Amino acid sequence: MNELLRQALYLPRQASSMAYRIDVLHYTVIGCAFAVAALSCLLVIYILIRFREGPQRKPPAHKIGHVVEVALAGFTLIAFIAWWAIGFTQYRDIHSPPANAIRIHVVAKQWMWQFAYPNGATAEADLRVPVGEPVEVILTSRDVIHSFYVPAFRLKQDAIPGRITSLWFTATEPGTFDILCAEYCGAGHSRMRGRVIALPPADYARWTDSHVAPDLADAGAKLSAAYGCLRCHSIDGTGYIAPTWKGLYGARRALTTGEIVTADDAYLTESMMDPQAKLVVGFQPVMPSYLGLLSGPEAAAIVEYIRSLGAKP
Amino acid sequence: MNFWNEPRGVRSWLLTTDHKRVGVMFFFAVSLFLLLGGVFALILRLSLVTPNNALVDAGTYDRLFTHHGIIMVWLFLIPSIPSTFGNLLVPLMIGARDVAFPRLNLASFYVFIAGAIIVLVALFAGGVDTGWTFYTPYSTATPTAIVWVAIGIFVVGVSSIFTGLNFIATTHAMRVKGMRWRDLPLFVWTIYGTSIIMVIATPVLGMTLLLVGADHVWRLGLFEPNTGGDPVLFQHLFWFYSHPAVYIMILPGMGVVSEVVSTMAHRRPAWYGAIVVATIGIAVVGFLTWGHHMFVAGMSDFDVGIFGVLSMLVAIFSAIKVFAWISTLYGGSITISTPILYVFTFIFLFVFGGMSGVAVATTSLDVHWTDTYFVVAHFHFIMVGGTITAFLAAMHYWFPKITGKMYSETWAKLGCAVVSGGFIVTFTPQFLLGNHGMPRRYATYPPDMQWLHVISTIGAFLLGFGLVMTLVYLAAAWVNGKPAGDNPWRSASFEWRSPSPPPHENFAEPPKWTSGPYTYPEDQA
Repeated sequence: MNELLRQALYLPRQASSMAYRIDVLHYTVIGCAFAVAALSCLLVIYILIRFREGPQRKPPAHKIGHVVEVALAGFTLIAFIAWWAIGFTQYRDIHSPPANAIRIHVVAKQWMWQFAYPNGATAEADLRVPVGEPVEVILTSRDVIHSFYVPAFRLKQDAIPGRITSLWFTATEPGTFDILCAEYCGAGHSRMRGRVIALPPADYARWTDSHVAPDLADAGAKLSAAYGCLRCHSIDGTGYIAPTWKGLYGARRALTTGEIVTADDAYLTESMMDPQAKLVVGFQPVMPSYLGLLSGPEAAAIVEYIRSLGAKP
Repeated sequence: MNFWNEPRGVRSWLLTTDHKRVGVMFFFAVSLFLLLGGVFALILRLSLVTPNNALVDAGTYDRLFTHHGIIMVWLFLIPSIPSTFGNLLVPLMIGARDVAFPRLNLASFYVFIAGAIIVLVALFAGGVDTGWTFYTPYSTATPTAIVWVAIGIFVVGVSSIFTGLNFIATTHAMRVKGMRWRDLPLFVWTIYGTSIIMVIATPVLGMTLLLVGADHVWRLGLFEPNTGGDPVLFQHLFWFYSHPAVYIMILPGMGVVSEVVSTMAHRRPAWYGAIVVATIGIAVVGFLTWGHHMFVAGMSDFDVGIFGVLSMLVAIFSAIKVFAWISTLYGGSITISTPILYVFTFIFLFVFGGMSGVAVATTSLDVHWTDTYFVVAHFHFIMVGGTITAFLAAMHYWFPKITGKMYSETWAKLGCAVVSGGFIVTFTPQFLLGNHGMPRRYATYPPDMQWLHVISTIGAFLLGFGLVMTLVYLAAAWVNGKPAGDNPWRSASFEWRSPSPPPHENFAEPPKWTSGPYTYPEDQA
């Protein structure tokens, strides 16, 4: 039944852990849409024929009462809200990666995709992932807005310059699946394609091992020293000119504005590029901006290094 | 003597303050823009027949879809029904001699033309490649003529606001003595709701486009992350106008359908109160759903949830209207005419298109569909199919009112069949393309999708042929048609109580409130 409906609706393969669940909701909603549209049309055709004006004009009769009105509206509302509830639950799942997900950084630019793996390996256009293991994709863009779209996974997320967005998936079968750019980005938009290559875990391990580069967190440690971050930020938990990095990742911090923020990838990256934007209570606004000094991959490496120093429970 | 030939002379037309003449001039202008936007659409469809786009290069393709969108949205869809049929009929329907501010009304026409000329000169002299949504930071960096297009759309927006103000004042102040709000024809209610949206939302669009222009010229960096700006802020501002704008397009269409259904069934609209509440509900709640255009733009999950549920609420108001139309027809005494056939097509497109809207508001499904042809098909079904079929229903319903002539029913029914068929053949395959993962604004595409693109292109030409055919037989009827009589549909509504075509100040003698716009003597129920 699933296969029949999937092909009838011309959907691509269901190659991620989300795809089947999303498709079942798809079948339900679109099935109802077809049924309601067809029924309305048949009903109108029937009414147009039965109540058409004859040589003897019949006086209009048959009134449909308010009870029916309220019942129909109520029933429709309940159906819509139920779909929304299911859909929104799925939506939240797409944005809640498991803790053990492999984190792969993606930088989009006109008109290509670049990938950085935890072990420092990098690639363009082809994103290799292990089958059966959760993968979190962390996106940003170097120029205009792009959108990372894998139809076979039923997943899409915009890559926005100056922001970090993410989604996660588990590939369920080995194979090659298109990555398309879904946000219009100029003349090369329709050619900004890549591939997800889902490999059995052993093959994936072999590939990453053969493309080993300095560990991303190690690279981040070296960069932190080179750029002078560690002159103010300690890594052992002692506070100095600036907040310590130990246990910083994921911690909730009070800002001078009274807001509370979570020190996630987005916040840490923002603090490098625009340090005064969200200042933590108890510290002076002395940090310079690293905008234009740190490249995207370098900033990602430093975030990865901070993460390796432990996360607050 | 009627408004066509009294007073005489070109000058009397160019300086007219008669709402009917302003409406007629708007009609010719927007019809021209419909055809122009349609030509761009046909070139687009032709270039998509082959996967590698044998017709035009990618840069040209990007300009073509941008021009198609800009012309259709701002020069056709937004003014289509309010500025033409709203102008022609609102005063007649409430028993007034004219709109509240006749000179402002004429100004709205000339301001519209001025804005349209700026837009068209910019499009033809330089062109724009951003898409009609002007997303930053692409639009602030593009070397194309974005600034002039933004200024042109700003000016067109001013015309929209003039029109909206006029209808609000007219509805409040100009009703015939004795006509209460609860007697107001449903078409007038929808024009009233539309006007509220125009007056409140359009300034936001104007400001936003000026900011984009300023960003482009002076590199202010408002939407540019390198200088501390936020590209997503633009999307919020843009959709704060552009989502309600969808209701500017469709609400008047719903009003037309309510009128046609009541007249052709010869009875009072069922559930009048519910339709009014739904009309105002759409106008108000429509302002709170803009975020559903941005489900994958990195909004917080909380925001996504709220925008999702509010979008469902707007859909309910639309559903109530459909129930009410069917309920009016059920048990009526129905004249099978071309307008009612267009209403039939409208109901199909509106119900399926609307349900596909509920589908894309279901957040997890939207993740797959957003920015694909599914969304293209969805909004063409509902806002384009809905608006165009309502526009055509209005054209055929009020044609005898405005021209005093009757068209050939045979040709008209044939035209309706071709237009409806063409529309469905064009856009149904696009739902499947979206399912398969075909993103919007792609100049080239994976070859396995070709067959659906070919079907869609055939449908587009059928639709274009149907529209041209309609214009031809209506023009012929205008010249040679049989006299229609004052009230060929035997409608009880106020606009049919004056001669057809109406005289200069609408009513030969001051109209009196004797019975409501929906009082049919034979209506027993």
